[in-house]
Amino acid sequence: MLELKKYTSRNASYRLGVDVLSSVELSSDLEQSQREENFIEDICKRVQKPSTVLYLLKSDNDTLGFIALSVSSIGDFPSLQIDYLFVNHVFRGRHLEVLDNLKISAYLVDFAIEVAQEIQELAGLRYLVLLPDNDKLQNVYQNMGFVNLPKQDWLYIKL
Amino acid sequence: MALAIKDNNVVYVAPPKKLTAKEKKMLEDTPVNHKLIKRATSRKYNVV
Repeated sequence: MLELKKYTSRNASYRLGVDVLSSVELSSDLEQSQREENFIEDICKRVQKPSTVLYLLKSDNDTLGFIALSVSSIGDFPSLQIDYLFVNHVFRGRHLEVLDNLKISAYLVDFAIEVAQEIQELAGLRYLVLLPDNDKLQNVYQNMGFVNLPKQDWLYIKL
Repeated sequence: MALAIKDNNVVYVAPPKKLTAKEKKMLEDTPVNHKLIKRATSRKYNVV
């Protein structure tokens, strides 16, 4: 069964980082793996504060990945920010039938758009924004529909 | 993502607060990708 398990400051324990790290496989590259571990530990600490919400995507016993979201603004425009998006190394690059044949990253971005749309109707959000970790991801996210803000590394989707 | 590594520490990077007039115009003039939003919002997500 496919589910997005929601973690906020209300239900995230101090063990969240340990639990998430033990449920996923990191990159095989040692340097990248350490980077991912640092990011995951950091984002889980942020979830314990009321600023970030984490959604863990699970299918039966598999943790496919997760997305961490927070409310922000780009310029004066209120925005939903993707703080971090992680895909379990085991499933990277794969289109999964359980996700309507989407890749995990695309499914999680779709979910972020859904959340952003809900907030927009309630409080006037204008953009979904993210800052890709590297140039390769810039292209990946642009192929998903994000637009690059020139001379900035930030990408956005207008809602 | 909005996390980065600086001096071996994870740092949080916020979106730019000050935009040029050109950047503001670009943000405002970007058309809404209705196809993408329709695909994303027509699915039922099982949030627990």
